[in-house]
Amino acid sequence: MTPDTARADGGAPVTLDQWNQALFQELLPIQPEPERPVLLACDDETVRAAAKGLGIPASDGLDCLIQAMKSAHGIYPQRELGGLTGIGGSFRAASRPRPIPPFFGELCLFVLAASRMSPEETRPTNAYHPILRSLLNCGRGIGEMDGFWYVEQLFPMLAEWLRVDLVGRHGRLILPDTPKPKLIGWPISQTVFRERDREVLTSFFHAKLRQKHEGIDRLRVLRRWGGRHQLTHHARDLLMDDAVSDLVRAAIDSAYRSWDGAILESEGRRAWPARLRLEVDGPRLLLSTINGETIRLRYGRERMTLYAGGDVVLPSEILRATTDVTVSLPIEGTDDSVRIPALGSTVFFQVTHDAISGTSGLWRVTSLAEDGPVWVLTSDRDLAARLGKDRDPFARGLPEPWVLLQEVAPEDLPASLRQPTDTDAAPIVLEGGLPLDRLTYLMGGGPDLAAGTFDDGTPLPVVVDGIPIGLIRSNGRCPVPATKAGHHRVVVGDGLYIRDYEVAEHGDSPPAYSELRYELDHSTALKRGAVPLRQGPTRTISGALMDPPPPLSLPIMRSSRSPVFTISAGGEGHWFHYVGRPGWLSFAELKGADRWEIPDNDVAWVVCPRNGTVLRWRATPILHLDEGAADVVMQLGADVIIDHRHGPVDADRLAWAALLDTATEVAK
Amino acid sequence: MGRAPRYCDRGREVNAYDRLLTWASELGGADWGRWRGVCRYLALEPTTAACALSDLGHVEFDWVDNRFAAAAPAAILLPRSSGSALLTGARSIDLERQLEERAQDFSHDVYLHPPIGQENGPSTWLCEGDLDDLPGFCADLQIQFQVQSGRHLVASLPAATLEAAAMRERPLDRLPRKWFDPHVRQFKRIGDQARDGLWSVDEERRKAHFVHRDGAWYRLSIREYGPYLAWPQETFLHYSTSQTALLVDTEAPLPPLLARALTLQSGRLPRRGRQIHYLNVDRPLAEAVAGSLATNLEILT
Repeated sequence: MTPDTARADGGAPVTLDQWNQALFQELLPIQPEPERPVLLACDDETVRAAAKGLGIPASDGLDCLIQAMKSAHGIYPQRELGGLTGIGGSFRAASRPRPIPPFFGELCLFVLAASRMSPEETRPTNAYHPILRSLLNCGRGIGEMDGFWYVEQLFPMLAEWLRVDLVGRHGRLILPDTPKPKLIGWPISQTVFRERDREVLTSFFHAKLRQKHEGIDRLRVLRRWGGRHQLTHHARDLLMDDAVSDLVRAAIDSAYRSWDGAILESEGRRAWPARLRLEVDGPRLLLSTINGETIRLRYGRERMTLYAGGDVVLPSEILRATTDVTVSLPIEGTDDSVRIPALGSTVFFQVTHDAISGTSGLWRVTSLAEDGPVWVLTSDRDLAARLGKDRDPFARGLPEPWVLLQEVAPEDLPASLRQPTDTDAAPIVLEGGLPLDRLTYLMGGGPDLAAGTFDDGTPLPVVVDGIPIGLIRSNGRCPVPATKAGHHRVVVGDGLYIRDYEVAEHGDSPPAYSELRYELDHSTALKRGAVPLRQGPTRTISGALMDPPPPLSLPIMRSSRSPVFTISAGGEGHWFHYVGRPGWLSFAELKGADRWEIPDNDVAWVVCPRNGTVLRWRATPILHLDEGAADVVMQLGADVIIDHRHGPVDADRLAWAALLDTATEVAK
Repeated sequence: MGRAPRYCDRGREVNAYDRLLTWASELGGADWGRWRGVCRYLALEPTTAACALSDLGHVEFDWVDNRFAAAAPAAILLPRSSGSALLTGARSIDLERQLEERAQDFSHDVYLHPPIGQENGPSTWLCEGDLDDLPGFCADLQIQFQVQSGRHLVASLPAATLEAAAMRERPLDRLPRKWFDPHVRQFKRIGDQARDGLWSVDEERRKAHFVHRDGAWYRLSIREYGPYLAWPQETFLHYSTSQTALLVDTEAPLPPLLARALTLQSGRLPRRGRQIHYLNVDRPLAEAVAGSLATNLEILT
């Protein structure tokens, strides 16, 4: 494959405009807030990342970029960079807003050349131009490259374009007032980290920022990271210098954006961290990594093909090999490898969702979630005996003395094993609470700050809305208040972590309820839980509500404990007696409730002979009375107290008189 | 998990279940992951909390798609309760405020009882009033009012049979399994791997329950049906006339909808000891539950 046609999909060669676009997106994306300080911190990793976005193999990216640049701008040994003045002049004269400067790729390359310089270089100018010439394949010229002087125009031009044409949305380019050395000081000013530092940074990202953490000040996390001493002197000095913190922060952010998940080793070798998954059926140990294309791995004599996004079954003997040491599986055809960390004598797996592959399964974990069982693969005989007492450990296919213990409750594990062994836990995150939305919490349900391992162990102050609320320790937690509705800001460690959050008195809008229902007529009514609401002629229940609603048949409540006689619309009489306060009311601690109820079976009259009261419950004419009912009505006679319910009271009197007449007829 | 912490909100003591319910009501619904996260924050066991809120009619769960959704607010008139309605379903902050305001404005003859706490679930809210007024009171608050929901629910459920509650499926032979011994009421390993009865099989992610009968295997989606379908001649249900309560043996807890039907008789989660006590259950309802499960009901006098 030749670089100028190097496109994975076999399409047309990538033009310089496309490269400029890809590099611009990689290096200067839209910032969370306008005018945020940024750098054009291009290096080999950035070009690899941009190449991937263009469908070009990462390893061919730089050659392809240079080829596109040479074709577009006529860069060759005799002329070198002489064409830059014309390109810059056209850009300056163009009407605004202007597209990405056509010289953007050149500026990136100038910075990349600076990143390849040794930080201890004593004569930078002498070192820089040979690197740039070599990159551009411009022979072995001496001294400054022709046309390079124009960089002092181009960098300010880029800064002005970002500030004016893009109104600062992509950040404010940090440029020196007087770059030193005079010309190469421009690209050097954009580099904080050199090649060696980039290797160290990938280890830092892998250890501390493997997952996407928001609100974290990566500069401050790096300042506290134990491995920072591996950075070059140059980078270390800048890292600890508050005067250039914006610069360093921008450089770290830029490096993080182009980080592809691999750990860089010397001479450009990349180690891809392995992720391990367990299949109980077997049991089998599966390996995957972040490979964008098919790779072939080697372990001893065994060859394994790992497809992009796929996994391979590891030989079970690897458990022995990885007990104490890291094992690297070389990737054929490259200097790269997939690295399995030292696993120790006990490995934990829990059902988790893997954000990278998008799959759920039994993934290897280094810190245990409390609310789910854990699968334990162990060669520790004592542990196996202790945990395997009530279960049958699987040993089939595993090397002696390894066994698999299924579904162990985390609390059954010895405390020493429950401690997180991974220091990659998020440096600080907001978690828990009663979240209504992203970073919005229900009042009274504020989140907790949860800290990972602090390398220096020093507790950090926590401040909310300017008021100190306490300290957070390494691997500690600190509740964040949510007692007042509105916008709040939590700041940890004087800016190591800054996060804004909202507290709301209630949800945004009245939510839709009863979206899940049991379908009582469906064939799965007894086979699964509630299901999403569907239209159709089916009886459902959601919570306590039946649909369609059952008939509303209310009982008749009585406060008096005297016996009650009811007469139905058909003239049938029934006695009801108070049998005492229902026992369950006491069990339920329900105080005061002291009425009793009688069923409303088409009741027309409720009569209380002891009190001499009658209540016309339903305005239904009664044409006939049974003997018992007639007796009761006759005994009461005409001199009764009418308990009036509704309608004119005289109508009740007339109705009682009519009932008395009917009773008299029955008595005759 | 530790005991649910108590927390003071607007002068009323609430527990973690109350807070969980308020949160779910304000949200309406979400996925199981969020439920689990909030339960962890509140120091509640997620599945236990889900069962409690489901039995009480507050929240529904779709176990296949792993989602939950709050049910609409409802008032259910409880039998033998002095004319009290149980307020269930969603319990939003606005609803609580409106309830308190409306109960104090004397436009309806309705009294809002102070919340009655319970240890393993949210507090019980009851409103007692003139039954001529209660439906109007609820309508004003856009709360649906129903009577005897539990009884109607039991009557609406299809009878529990192997066809209705299970699927023909054979467990994998290589997976360990245990047989439910109806005499000692425990699962135990036995030599005969195809004996008729109820079986618990250790599958990869969880234990699954199967019934073996007449040479055929049936997988149960809702494991609570297992003892009743496998051992219809056994007695797991007992009715106490003196306590007006249904007592269920702990080894054979009721399937979710029947548990809800009985819980809605009192608004209280059953008391759990050597048996599970459902309060305020009359004998016809207890018989209907036993009929629905095609099982025996022992009457205790």
